[in-house]
Amino acid sequence: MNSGKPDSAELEVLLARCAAKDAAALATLYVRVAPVLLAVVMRMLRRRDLAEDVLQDVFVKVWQQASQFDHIRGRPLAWLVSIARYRAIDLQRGSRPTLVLSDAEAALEPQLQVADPAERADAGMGSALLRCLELIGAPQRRCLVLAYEQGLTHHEIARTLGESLGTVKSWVRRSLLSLRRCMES
Amino acid sequence: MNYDSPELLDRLAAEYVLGTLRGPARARFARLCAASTAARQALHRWEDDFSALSRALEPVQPSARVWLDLRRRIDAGGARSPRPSFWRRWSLAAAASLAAVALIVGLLVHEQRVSLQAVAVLGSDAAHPVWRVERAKELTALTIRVVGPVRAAPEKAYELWALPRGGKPVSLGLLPLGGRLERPLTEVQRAALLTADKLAVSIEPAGGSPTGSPTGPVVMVGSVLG
Repeated sequence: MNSGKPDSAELEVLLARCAAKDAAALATLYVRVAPVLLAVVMRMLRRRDLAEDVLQDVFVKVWQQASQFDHIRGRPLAWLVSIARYRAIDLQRGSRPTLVLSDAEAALEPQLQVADPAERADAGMGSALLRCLELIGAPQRRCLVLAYEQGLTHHEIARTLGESLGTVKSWVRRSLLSLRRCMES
Repeated sequence: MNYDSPELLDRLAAEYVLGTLRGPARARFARLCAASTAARQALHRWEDDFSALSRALEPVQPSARVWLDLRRRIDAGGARSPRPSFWRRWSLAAAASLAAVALIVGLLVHEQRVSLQAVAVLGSDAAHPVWRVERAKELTALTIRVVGPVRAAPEKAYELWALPRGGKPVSLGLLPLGGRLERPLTEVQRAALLTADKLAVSIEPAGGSPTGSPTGPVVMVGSVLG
């Protein structure tokens, strides 16, 4: 199974070379992962200028702290994505343009249709997380995806879905538990 | 809070990664991770798990200024230290500074020049893209990349179809089960693609549809973008 995205072994080598202050390695790393990280951050901040600032911050940090990448931890892309997402979350506080979230969301959804939901099982089994997300209820799944992909807070999710804050909090909490159990089974 | 409870630790880690843990609680958990291996492990596990969602997004090319500004910022950071800036050191090491810098810029420019545009993304639903179909500017070939897990069914194949407006489906060949495939287009396929507003995937016998039209269930339909 190949994701078509940069592979871990290559990224690990590039990070090791960045740690040794090899500037060419930083350039290559940038070519490989900047578009992936920008996609992640733009979904969260919804503004290219802010997202590109975050992207720069991420690469400055990677350049300065590549040696902190734990090769035992593995999964370099997950590490890089996390740095980018956490930076975006820090910046979100108070500075996010308010949009009609449902419209914004609709605009961001790739145009996909499911011809026959009964055939979905044949269409592809997810990674553990994607597979387990399929198993929780649709509104609960939506909560998690809105939080992760768009960086919405409990309050924003509640507003988007028209549910109470308490409901959203307990949905998130319970679906995380189900996900963990499912991924361990 | 009792951070010794593995369940609590796991939930905090999950909500930290998800981003729903905010404010002082977020800062507390970040500090905990610096001190506790268990917290860090829980955090990394959720980061790895959820990154599957990030991988599924369509990449966005940054503007050229981002790399140039980044280079300046890093260089300025280097200049504050007593050592020469890393660009200079690197350039010297590379023996020809201009040639070396040109190499990096060339690498970036090259990457952009061959960048492909999306024709369609096909998947079981928005959160689960499986194939990304791309084309270069000249529509002479399609590049099909597997971007999500494909479940291989024995004796079956996934076949890609262009659905031209008001015409019959035209086969664009079998879909790869992994990696990336570049497929040159025939004139018929090219013409079908130019007038198609949708692509579809059907399940066919191994080797593809025996009739030239979809014979098995159509499992995905995606709009042609742009």
